[in-house]
Amino acid sequence: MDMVVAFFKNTGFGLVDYRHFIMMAVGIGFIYLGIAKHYEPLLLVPIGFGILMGNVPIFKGLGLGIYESGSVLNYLYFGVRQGIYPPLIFLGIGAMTDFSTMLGRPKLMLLGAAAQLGIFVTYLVALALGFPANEAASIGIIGGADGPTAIFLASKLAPELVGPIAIAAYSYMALVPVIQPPIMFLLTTKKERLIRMSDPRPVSKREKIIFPIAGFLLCCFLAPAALPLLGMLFFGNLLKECLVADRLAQTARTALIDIVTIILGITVGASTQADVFLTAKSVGIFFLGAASFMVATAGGILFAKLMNVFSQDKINPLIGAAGVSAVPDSARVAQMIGNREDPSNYLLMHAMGPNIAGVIGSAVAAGVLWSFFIAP
Amino acid sequence: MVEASELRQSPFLADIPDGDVQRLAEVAVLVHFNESEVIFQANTPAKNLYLLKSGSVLLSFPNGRSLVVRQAGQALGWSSLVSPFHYTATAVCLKDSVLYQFSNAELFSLFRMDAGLATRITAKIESVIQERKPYRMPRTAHGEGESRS
Amino acid sequence: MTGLSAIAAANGWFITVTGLVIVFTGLAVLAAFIASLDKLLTLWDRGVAWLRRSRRRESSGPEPEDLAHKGPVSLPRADASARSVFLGGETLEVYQYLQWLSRRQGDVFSLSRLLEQAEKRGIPRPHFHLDELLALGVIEELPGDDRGFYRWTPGITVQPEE
Repeated sequence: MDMVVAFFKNTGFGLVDYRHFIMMAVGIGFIYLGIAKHYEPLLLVPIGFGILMGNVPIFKGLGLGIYESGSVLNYLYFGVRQGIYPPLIFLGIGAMTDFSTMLGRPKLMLLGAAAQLGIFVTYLVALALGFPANEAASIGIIGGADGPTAIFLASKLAPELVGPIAIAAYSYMALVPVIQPPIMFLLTTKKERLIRMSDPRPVSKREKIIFPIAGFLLCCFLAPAALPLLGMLFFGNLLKECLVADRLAQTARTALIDIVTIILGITVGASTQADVFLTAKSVGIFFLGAASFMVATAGGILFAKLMNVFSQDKINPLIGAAGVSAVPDSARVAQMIGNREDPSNYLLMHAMGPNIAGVIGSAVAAGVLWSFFIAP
Repeated sequence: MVEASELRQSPFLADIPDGDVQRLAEVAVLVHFNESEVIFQANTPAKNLYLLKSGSVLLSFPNGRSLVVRQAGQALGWSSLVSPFHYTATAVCLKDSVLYQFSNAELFSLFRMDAGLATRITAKIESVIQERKPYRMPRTAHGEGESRS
Repeated sequence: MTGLSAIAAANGWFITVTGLVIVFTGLAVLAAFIASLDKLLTLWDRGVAWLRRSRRRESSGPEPEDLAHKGPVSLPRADASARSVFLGGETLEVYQYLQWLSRRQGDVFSLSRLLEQAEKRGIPRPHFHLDELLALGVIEELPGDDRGFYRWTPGITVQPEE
C-alpha cells in the first residue's frame, strides 16, 4: 500500500497545484488561437504545446525538466540560452525576403528607424518602474516586434525572463492587426490615408547583391554587437540574390527555419514555467510589451508625417506603422487600412520597405543595448 | 504544384514573365469542383485566390447581383490579397469546374521574395477589382453607393 | 529605486539617446548609400567601358512584350437576332419552371435568388441548366446600373428539340 501511495505521489496527479492548471490553460489558449483563429500558427502552436510540456508536474532530479542538466529539453534549450536559434531564423528571413521595395525608395528606411522609438521609450518606462537595467533592456526590445531579436537579447541580458518576454513578443506580433489600427486612425487624417505613393524605381540585380554585403559592413561597423543577427540576415539575403547558391537559400528559408522554429517554440514554451510566469513581473512585462508596440507604431507614423513636411514625394503615413518589424503582418495592416479608404490604393509593397528596415533597425537596437551591458 | 506550361496557357497570366509563372506554378494546386458545389462563401475569410481553368462559376454578391465566370483564366477570390480579406461573393459551380488554387499564405511568401512579381500580380488583381466594382454596388433608385459587405 | 532617479542611476537617458542616434545614423547612412548606389554603379560602368574602349552592352535578350490588357470577353451566347432556341427535354422543363419562379422577382431577377428557389423546390440540376440557358442567350445580363441582374432575353422563342 505504501508503495502505491509513493508511486501516486510521484505522478503528475500527486505533484500538481493550481499554478500548473493556469499555465496549461495559457498553453491551450495559445494552441486554440493558432489553430482556430489562425493567429501566427507557426509560432503559437509550438509555444502553446511547449507550455504544456513545461508545466506537467514532474519530480525534480530525474533529469526530465528543461532546467535540469542532461535532459533532452535542456539540450534543445541550449540554442535559446546561447542565442543560437535567433540568428538561424534571421538567416531564413534574409533568404525569403526581397529587399527591393526598400532599395527602390531608401528614405523609407528612416520609418523603420523611427519605429524603434518603442524599444527605448519602453526601456525608460521599465527603468522607472523599478526593473533592473538589464531586464529593462530585455523588456524594451519587445517593441522591436521581432521575436528572434527579443529572444536573442533576453538570452544575453536576462535569461530568466526569456519565457515571458518571448510569449509577450509573439503574442503581440500575432495581435498586430488588433493593436495597430486604432493608433493608425488616431494619428492620421483621411486625406493622409488616401495618399497614393509613386512606384519605387526599379532595382538592378547588382544592387540587390551589393546591398547585403555593404549593409552588413555598414551596420556592424556601427553596432558590432548586432553581428550575429545582422550577419545572418544579410548572408541569407545574399544567398537568395546571388542565384548561384539557390539550394542553400532554399534550405535556409524552408527546412532550416522550420526546424529552428519548431525547437525554439517548444523550448521557449517549456521554459515558461509557473513560478517564473505567474508573477507580478510577467504582468508588468505584458503591459509594457503592449505599450512598446503602440509607441513603435506611433513613432513610425509620426515620422512619416514629419518627412512629408520636407518632401515633395509624399509618403502615406500608414506605412510608418509597418516600421514595426512584424513582417509581413504590419505591412498587411497598413494595406488593409489604406484599402478601407481607397480600395484601389495598394500599399503592401510600399509598406514592406519600412517593414524590412524595421528588422534591421531592431537588430541594431538590440546590438546597441547589448553592447552597453557587455562587461569590458 | 502544376506544370508551368499548363499555367502559362491561362489568359490571366499571358503577359507575365516565364520566371513568375514558374514560381506561381510551384504554389498552384489544381482543384476540381462538381456542379452545384460552393467554392467559397461570401463573408468568410478569404484563404485562396482561384484562376478558372475550365467550367463555369456563378459569383453571387449579397446585394443580389451575380456574375458568371466562364472564361478560362478569370480570377476569383481576389479578397485573399486585398482588404477586406473576406470573400465579397459566393462562388458556386454551374457545371463541373477545374480551377488553379493559390493559397494567400503562399502568395504572400512569393510576394515577399519577389517585389516585381508582387507588383505585376497586384496590378492584374487591381484590374479585376475595377471590373467587378459595379457588381458590389447596392441596387438603389439611382444606382449609387458601394456595398460595404 | 523607481521613477526618474532610477532612470538617471542606470544612465537611461544616455543609453536611450545614444541608442536612437546609432539606429537612425545606421539606417540613414545605409539609405544614403543605397540612394547613391545606382549612380555609383553607372559611373563604374562608364569607367569600365572607357577602359575597355567598347560600347556599353545593351540588355540581352528580348524584352517581354506588353500585351494590351484584354477586357472581359462577352459571354458566348446565341445570336440575339436568332429568334428560336431549341432545348432538350429536361432543360426545357427547367426553363419553364425557372420562368415561373422568376416572375416572383419581376422582369428583372437575381440569379442567386432564382437558383436558391429552384434548389428549394427540388428542380433537377438547376445550376447546369441555368448555365445552358445563359450560354444560349435565353437569359441575358442587364447593362448599366442593373449590371449583375438578369432578364429573359426578349424576342427569343424557346422550342423543344426534336
